Amino acid sequence: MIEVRIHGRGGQGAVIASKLLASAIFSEGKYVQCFPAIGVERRGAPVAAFLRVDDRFIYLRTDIAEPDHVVVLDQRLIVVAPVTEGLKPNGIILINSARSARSFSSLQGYRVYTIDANQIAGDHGLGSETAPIVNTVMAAAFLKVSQLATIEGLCKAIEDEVPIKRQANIAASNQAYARMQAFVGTAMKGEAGE
Amino acid sequence: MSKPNQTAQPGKTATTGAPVRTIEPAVAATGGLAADDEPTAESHAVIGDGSNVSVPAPNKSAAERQGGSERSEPIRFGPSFPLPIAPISQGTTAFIHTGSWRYLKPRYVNKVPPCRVGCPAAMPVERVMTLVEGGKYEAAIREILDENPFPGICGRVCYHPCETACNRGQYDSPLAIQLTERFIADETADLDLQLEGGPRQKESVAIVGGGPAGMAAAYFLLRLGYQVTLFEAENRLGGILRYGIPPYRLPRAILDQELNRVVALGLKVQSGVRVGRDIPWSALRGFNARMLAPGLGKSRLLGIAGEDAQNAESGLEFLRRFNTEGPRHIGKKLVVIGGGNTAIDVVRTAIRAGCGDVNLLYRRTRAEMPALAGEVDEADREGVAMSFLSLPIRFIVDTANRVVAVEAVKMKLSEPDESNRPRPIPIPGSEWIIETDHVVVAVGESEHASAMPDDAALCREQAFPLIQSGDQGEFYVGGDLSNDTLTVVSAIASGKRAAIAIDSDLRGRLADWKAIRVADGGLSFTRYLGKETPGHNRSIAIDRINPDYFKKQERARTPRLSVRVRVAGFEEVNLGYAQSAAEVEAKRCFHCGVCTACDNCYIFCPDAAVEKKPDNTFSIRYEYCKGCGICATECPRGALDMVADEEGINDE
Amino acid sequence: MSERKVIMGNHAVSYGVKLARVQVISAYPITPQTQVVEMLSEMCADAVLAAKFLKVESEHSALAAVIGAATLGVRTFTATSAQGLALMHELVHWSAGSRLPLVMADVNRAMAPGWSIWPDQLDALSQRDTGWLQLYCESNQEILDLTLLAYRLAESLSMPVMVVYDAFVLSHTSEPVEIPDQSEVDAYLPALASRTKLDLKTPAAFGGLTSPEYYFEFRYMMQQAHDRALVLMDEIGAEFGRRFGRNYGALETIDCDDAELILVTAGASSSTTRVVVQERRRRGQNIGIVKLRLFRPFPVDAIRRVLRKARRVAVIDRNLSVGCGGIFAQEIRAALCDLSDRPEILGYVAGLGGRDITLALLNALIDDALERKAEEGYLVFWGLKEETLYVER
Repeated sequence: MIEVRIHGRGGQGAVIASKLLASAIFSEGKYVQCFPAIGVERRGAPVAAFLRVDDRFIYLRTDIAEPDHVVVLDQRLIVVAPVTEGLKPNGIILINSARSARSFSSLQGYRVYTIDANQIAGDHGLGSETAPIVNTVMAAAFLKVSQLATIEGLCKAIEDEVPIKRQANIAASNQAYARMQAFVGTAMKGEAGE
Repeated sequence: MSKPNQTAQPGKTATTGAPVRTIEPAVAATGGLAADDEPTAESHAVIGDGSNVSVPAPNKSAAERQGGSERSEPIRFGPSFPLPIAPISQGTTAFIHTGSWRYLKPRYVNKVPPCRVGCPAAMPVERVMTLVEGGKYEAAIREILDENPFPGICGRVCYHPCETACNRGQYDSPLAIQLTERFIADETADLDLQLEGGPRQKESVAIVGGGPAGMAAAYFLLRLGYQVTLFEAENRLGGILRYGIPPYRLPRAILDQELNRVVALGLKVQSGVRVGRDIPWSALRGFNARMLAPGLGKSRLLGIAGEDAQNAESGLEFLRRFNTEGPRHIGKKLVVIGGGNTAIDVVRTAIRAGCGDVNLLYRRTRAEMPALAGEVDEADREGVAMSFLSLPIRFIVDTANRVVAVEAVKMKLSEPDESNRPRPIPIPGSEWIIETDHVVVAVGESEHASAMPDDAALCREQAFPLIQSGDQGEFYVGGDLSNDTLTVVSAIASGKRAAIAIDSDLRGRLADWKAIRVADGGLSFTRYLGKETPGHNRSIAIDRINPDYFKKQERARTPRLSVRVRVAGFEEVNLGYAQSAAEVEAKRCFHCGVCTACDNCYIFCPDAAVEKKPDNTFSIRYEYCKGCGICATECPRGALDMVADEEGINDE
Repeated sequence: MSERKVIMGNHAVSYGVKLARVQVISAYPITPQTQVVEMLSEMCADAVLAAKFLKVESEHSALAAVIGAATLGVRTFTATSAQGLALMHELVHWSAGSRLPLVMADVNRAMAPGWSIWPDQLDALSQRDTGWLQLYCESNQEILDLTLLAYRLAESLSMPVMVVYDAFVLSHTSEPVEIPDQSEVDAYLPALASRTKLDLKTPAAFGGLTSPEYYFEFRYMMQQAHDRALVLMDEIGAEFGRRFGRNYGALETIDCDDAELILVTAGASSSTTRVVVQERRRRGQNIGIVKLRLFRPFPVDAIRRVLRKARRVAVIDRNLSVGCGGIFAQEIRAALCDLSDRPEILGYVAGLGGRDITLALLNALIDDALERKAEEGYLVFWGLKEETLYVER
């Protein structure tokens, strides 16, 4: 079983990201389960969503304390949220940031990837300049680096489940997926990839 | 069924490994007072009911005993600090650092208001308005005089680009900045301001030309402590201000007073001396720095037949003669050609000189006239006949070589020319003849050839223009020679620029030209002196002004002398506004991009994260600021920016 | 054609309600139920569900509204949680006494204070004596299926049925769910033919004064309906299995035949318990699970049959009847008390107010249940942070 934790901010679409990933992965034959961390959801506040993937129906209904991978929708969450808490060694940390993965020097022992999702989302008119909605972009990038499903699965999930700007989200996702292509396999154990 | 025994299973949490959620647990929020698990008499945050919990009920609230201090950590209940019997809290939520919710953070960023950017002399209009609102006229004139030595003059004759730039213009009508400047100048005219200069310098500077540029350069150099000698070809100082602009626009008392203010700072004046004619250029070699500030003494010609007639002259000649010799008879009918301020000055002067039939010919329409629209309006009111789309094609002269009539042709406008104005083209067959007793051609000026050494050339390669002569070396430059816009305020600004360049060179320090420029506007002498930090050196547009906080109110107007009275002489037409209007007008100022301590941010912050300091400034407690942006939205004047928050993220 | 989708528990209810062709919906939003009615209101607005959606100002009004609608003989739905259900309480009794075939979804949420939005079964269990049938769900599939089954039960018995599932662990968790085809559902769940119907041609008063002469009999008839429900549950659950491939009975038993220890669970924690028990089985320990699906009526006979063979029964209650212990344990003790060879019954209260019921917690619980001595007590508060409690000296 693979367990993923998505860190975001209220309003950024972390929960939808977990749902789209779940639908995409399910459509390609695996079992999934996803759920948000429940607190008092507030716009801007650090939130988390979770995803389980397995080959069989998932009976486990506990919180995820030790995720295999982490997705971070806003780079400042590295500072304000326990992003690496319980993260398994050599797990993926995918960060929405214009910086290079190497610049996150405190994240030792993980496979760090970055993608400037704000820019991609902005280019496709997703969200506003000050609060871009990056969930589909980050979901696509994560699928690329985790190989949990194909971009086609994600695009179908967006088509089915995203209420507005479907084509923009699909185009942004394709761009993000393609952009991560160059980085796949470059992040080595204990070293930051780009 | 036997009643089961009841047991609690202690200490299982650790072994069951319940993960810590990444949210603030609700129970934790009921605490907030105790610093840690250490038992102290002060650590009991919760009132027990005394029956089954023997925690003593505190007499004072824990918050009081803590001196109202805020905790950075929630209470962790444990052996030394047990849970209350119910979720009861006396604590604050101060330990919840809502600052973690932020994408963006607000920052107080004072900006350069657009009026100041619009002013070539970088007049600190916004600060001046604050002072005027408080009735502090002396402080206001000092603020102005730090950037511009001639507020009384500019308050009358400036083309006020500050008002064009004023954001209020996009709301109701621009602030009456020029009138306010004039009001301050007039209101403080009798004060002995004792303007301080810098430490006295041993170096001497020669300035050639006593117009607004030369006099401004002299003023700033004198305030920097230099020995300044000014060479003026005319008998009196002032240049265009005295010999061009008529007294009904600029009373000579005002002119003299402001020029005298400069002379009083210790200026040595050599008037009636044209360098290169009366004394050789080499006479200036003894000065440590030399500056040229000539006007454009040579008028352009139309290049048509009859222009050399006895009773044909240029606009500047006409005005100069009037302004030196007083009114003279020029006949009953006058034709004036041109659409600039000189042409308008000529026609209005002629009206006052008793010329009953004044005709102005301009080859484009009123909309394209370069003259100030208000001046054109006044000329209209005073009875000038204006023929637009009219181009003279020849002056018809008699045998005595006097013009008796002007033949003109009607024009039509076609596609824009290189000046981006519609190109006028003649309409064949539309020619007509206007009889006249006198003709004035006021179609622009070009440089005065004798204003610089023979082999001199203008060089613009450095931050400020220089004139380089093989024989005489380098000259700093100001005035019309160095400016793109031929206006009084640009001349003043060029004088300031030359003064700064001279000081910077003589003192061996390179001026940070970017930092002393107000945004992309003019140079600030205050900044050059280090009396004002550049801060965030950019301007601010109307979209950052919150119109909810401003009532629409039209700008102040100036009363004018009645046409009947004014055409009878040369009395000043614009009368200026009253003191009561000054405060009203100053209150209209948006104070674009400048915090006025209005308290809106402080009042509106939903998290009480804005703190007001004793000096009436504000700071933001970022540990609580959620970045909601309400402070920035409710700031009436755009003094708060929302900026990306990258604090604490690893550096590259 | 059925389709398989990844959906959250709350939306599983909404899909069930849509497939049941419910005619009147009234509900008041409350976390964690909100998405149930959000989706239904969208379905009504989009006309994919031909139902009247009544907006109301409280849960009490919501239940009153569906009582009114059901009295007219239409199929209704409401949903709530915790304090909302408590506010309905008066009408929860009323609707059962009126023998209205209502269906309600209750998302298990802890009762306040302390203010909580997290899972705890007490809200629904506090309504156990009202006459409503109660079905507890373990997965989102079960939520959808039991919603459909609830209408069959309710309308067959003229009794209201509550479909109960855990806050967040199911309500907000998305997982694959098979959404049956409408025609299949139509065949399983024909249009409502109500026995109590307000009709202008035959005027009637409903719920009027009932003297001691007859009240007792009405209550007895409610008991008879519950008795029938025990039989009916297995019948319509089996029919559901034939049509949709998923069987539902009052109980689900897992590995109980040879079990030395049987864990009794209800709701979503049954799933995690399956994971633990499967691992224990692999290690050779004979442990089984009884999952309570139908709580009211309480399937006493079925429970006696399956539990009597075990040496020990450990009941996991995500609820506490203060002063008595876990409610499921209490009912199971009552069901088994007259058996001479009854197993020892250990009641574990765990996970109150949403405290996570983890693998580690369940593993430790099993170890404890296997070894606990009678003198240590059989009511156990499992996972309590006793160190935070004030100890009187």
